[in-house]
Amino acid sequence: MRYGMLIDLNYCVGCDACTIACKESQGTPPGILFSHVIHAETGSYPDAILQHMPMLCMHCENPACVDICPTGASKKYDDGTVGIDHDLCIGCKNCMPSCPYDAREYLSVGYDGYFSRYNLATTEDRVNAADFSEISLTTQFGFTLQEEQMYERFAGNKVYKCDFCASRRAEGLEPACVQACPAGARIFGDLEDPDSDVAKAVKERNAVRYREAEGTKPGVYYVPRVDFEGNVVQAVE
Amino acid sequence: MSKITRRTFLKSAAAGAGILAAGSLAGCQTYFETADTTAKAASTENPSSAETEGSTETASAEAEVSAENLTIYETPQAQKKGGTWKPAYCGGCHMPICGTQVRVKDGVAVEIMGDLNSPTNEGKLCPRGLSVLGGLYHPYRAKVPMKRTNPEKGLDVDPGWVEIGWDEAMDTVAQKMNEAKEYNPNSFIYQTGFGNEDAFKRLILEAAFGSANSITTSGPLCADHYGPMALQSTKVERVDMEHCNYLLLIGRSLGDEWGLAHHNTEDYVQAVARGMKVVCVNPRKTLAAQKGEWVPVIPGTDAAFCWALVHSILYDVKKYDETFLKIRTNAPYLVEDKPEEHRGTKTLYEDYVRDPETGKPLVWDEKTNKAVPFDTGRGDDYAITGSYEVDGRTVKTAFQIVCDYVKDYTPEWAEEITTIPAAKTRKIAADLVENAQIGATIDIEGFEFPLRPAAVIIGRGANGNPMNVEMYKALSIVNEMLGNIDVPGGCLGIETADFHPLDSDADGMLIPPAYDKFAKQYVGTAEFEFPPKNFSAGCFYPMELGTIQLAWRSMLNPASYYIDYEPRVLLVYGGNAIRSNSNPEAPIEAMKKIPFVFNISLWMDEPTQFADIILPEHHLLERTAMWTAIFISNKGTTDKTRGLRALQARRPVVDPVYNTRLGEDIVIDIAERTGCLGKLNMIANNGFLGIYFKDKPLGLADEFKLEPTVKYSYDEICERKIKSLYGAESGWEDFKECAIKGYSVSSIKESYNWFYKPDNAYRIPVYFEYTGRNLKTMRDGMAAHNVTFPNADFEAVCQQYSAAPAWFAYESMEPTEEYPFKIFQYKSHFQVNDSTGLSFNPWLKEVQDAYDPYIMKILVPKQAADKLELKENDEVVVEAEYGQTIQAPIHISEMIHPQTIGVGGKWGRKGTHVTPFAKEGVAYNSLINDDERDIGFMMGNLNNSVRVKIYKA
Repeated sequence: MRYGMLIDLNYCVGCDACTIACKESQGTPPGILFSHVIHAETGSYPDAILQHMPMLCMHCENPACVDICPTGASKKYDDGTVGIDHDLCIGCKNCMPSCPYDAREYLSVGYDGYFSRYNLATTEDRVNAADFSEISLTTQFGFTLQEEQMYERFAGNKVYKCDFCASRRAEGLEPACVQACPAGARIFGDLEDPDSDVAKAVKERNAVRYREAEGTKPGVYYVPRVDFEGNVVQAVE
Repeated sequence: MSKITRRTFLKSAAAGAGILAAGSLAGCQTYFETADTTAKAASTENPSSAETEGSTETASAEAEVSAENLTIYETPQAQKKGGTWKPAYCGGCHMPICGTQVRVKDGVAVEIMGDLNSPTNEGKLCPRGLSVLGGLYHPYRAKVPMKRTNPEKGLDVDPGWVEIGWDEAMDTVAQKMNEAKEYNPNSFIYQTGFGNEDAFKRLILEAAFGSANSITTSGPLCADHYGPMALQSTKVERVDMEHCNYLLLIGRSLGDEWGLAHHNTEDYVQAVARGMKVVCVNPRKTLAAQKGEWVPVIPGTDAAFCWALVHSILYDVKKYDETFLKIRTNAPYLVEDKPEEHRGTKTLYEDYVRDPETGKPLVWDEKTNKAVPFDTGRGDDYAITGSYEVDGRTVKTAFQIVCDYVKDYTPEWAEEITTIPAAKTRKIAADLVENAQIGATIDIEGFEFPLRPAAVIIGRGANGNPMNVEMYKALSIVNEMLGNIDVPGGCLGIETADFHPLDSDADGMLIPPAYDKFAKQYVGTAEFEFPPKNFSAGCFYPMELGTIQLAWRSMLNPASYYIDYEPRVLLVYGGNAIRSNSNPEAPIEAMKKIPFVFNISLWMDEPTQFADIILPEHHLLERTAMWTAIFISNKGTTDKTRGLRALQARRPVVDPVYNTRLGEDIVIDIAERTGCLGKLNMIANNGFLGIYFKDKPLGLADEFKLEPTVKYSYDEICERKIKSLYGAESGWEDFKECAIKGYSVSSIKESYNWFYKPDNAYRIPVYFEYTGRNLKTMRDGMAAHNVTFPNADFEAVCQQYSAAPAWFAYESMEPTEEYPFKIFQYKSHFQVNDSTGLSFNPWLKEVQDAYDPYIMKILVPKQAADKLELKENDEVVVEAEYGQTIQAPIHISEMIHPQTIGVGGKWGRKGTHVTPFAKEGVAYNSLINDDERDIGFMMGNLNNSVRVKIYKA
């Protein structure tokens, strides 16, 4: 089998539900987003278009990141996903530039939570924060209760990326981004099962893969966006 | 194995692999309902709330027989998170109807997702709803009861907070309120808003207390209701996306721009995929405009385009649904054309010509060639055009009045004002009529409906200005000429008539139900009640949605609005007048002036900055809440959602993180301590959460009514509502697994209101008689009391109340040489109403910073940037003609009208204890003028797009 995903850009409304679903479901520390959307304006008035390009690990059939990993931490699994065995990852970051999709992110040792990162930007803020936390007599700034739990899943000095929500799949749930999508733009499933919704949609909607020329053979397919007349307004190349 | 669907594909794989965590999805049973026996058995054995850890034994036993191992690796990131899923529903926007499941582990909420069992969102959830966990453990919440020690109040003045106990806080509040009551109960002001939408003032404290002063923050920027109240007896109109093929969308989003999980977004993308064309009149090229067609417009001038559309259908296309106009509208009603002129605008306030004997409006019967009462026949023989002699008077049909009054509103005339080319207006008019397929019918389950697959709808982007009512009048007439109201393909009300009464007045005209507070926006107020009871200028705005901006000015100077008392106590609960309305100077000064201000608040924010006491309240995941969603989709709808409604009921999913309380329980405490608990209970008995089923009471059923002398918790009151709707055996238990209980009409035909009231069952206006009637009542009342209109020229008021088509240029409508741009705001998908404090959310902030090129920026059109020699990210000042300014870096855009400046969302939070990063960005609403210079005198709405100039900071 091979797990894969189809993202129909005709359905995507660029709302970032996928981004936030991933963030909160994975509980990643600041700076780590396994899933995000690139929003970019192209063209000129009045024909300009705002492109929305959802990005995540492409779970390639020929993953450059696996080849380059010196410890064997990056692996290609039987179900078609590309994962990182964090027991083996030494944080060398060699894999990061090898990925044509910029899907990998490095987490340093001693990383901050959200409220040590944002709150104390200026001296004034620091004073206010200290005062306030003193009168609150409860939480001090640092990891929130939610962060304390979720960050147990993230050791420092390692590289992380999307694993098609292995932790959710283990419970019979779809990846968080797929379930959340308000537009129903994403379909997930076994690309090798011709009867699966995703395999059928890839075929019926003439889906393509991003940067096909890299030879990576991604497991994520996109349906290019067209306007009302059928002109392609956002190609995926 | 059953058919594989998107939602079931994984369960079969997981069940086959045998690692399905039985019971770990408590509340998600139907997710497994068609799965194989292993999954089913496991699910039955663990019907609720089983810990995932507890079930792993079964799971691994099954895993041994598995042919395939799905667990791809064993490092922490990939491991199951454990814990228990608990049902909740979202409070992240003004439609708190999406079911959620929250994973709670060791008492901590760690993950949230849409509830797959919830009929309102089917597992989906938007970025705002997904982010609410980021607010729960937020250190900048209001965490303990506090009082100020610094009497000086200001946005940048440290209040010197000290922690106090709940008893001291409540004692102080009660003492101040009792003093106010003794002085004058009206001196207590209760302010709400969209901040806490799922707790949006369910208990009407101010009425129990005896005060007429209830104000919100939201109304004046969202005056969306005049047209729908008149045409569909409903708050908002929606498009039938199942059948509509051509949609003209003016200043509104269908969910394309902000990703709504409750069907709207999916309905939109599916309709477009099916081939529905969307033509967007908008200063910004929205997603729907990119897909369909964009018609750029100068914001605030749309009404000219709308009247030109009416003109073009009448005089160019010359085709419209005559039958609909004859049998369903007041087009045939006779009116004497006796116009007045106010500030150069021709207005008409005339009543219908009436039968002297019955008092009924007369129509002209073409068969008998005489005037007859409107209900003589169905209407097929009534004249809709022409003028006639009746009792020696020359009278016209209402539709003839429309034809005459729009004669000069040509597409060329509108082009001068809007910049929309005349040819484009004509093309749209022709396309609307062509696509409406006038005369076509559709058989739905044996019932023959008219089919009219073309419609036009507007939103707050276009109607947020003094032309609000004119736009609704014009587009109502367009839709009526298309014959599309409440029929397949057209423009529908949001409530279905299986419970929503569609009653008519003595003139045969549809009127909203009297219990609907919004009814006033169409029918107005029958009497001129002077002096006004409340700070919202009451009798001078008989049809208002909300004149909140004036309420603050009135509190500062009561006598100038004929108020004979001073404000004494202000309670702010979920509303933020400083950032969610207009120029904040008046509310700031009022909050300084009012002797005692207290807040029930989730956050340290702008209003808490002026509080004397802060009563901290629970986060939505800590509190009981309830909501009756009498409709699901408020923009578009399909066969699946049209007849659907749902009851939301949520209990806490985690214990309170801080020393907070449930807001409603605080309100109940206040009522008890101020001697109005009995009255509060009676009000709840009569109206708590309103209508849901036709045969059930608005409030509580007799057997579940609250006793006047008993103090109930909010949790108990909610359960009594559940029992009132579903019977004594029902209760919280019914919501243990899913917080949403759906209800749908039993057939598709019952989801169209035409089915219940076809043909001439009632009529809707092309001539807006109630409008003229209200003006005359006010004018007579003012004369009788010998008073003048407060703080405005009454001529300007009269100009806006015509029952016939009218046009006037209001202040700040068009760009000038000095102020060459109109500024407009658009929705950001990171923020809708900022409910639950989305602007404080660190996850949203991170994504905004990393990936959104628009957010926190000021959009400047490319042409203007070139002319002003501005580069991307240059810091600019935007100065409104009323004097206020904002400052931020720019984003140069090719996707906005060249004479506009754009801002997405509202940011720039203020206060000494506010989340620091939230201070970034601009507070758009501060640019909006809050006095009577460019107000909508009918709705009381603000002008949301003022003239500005920009220059380098």
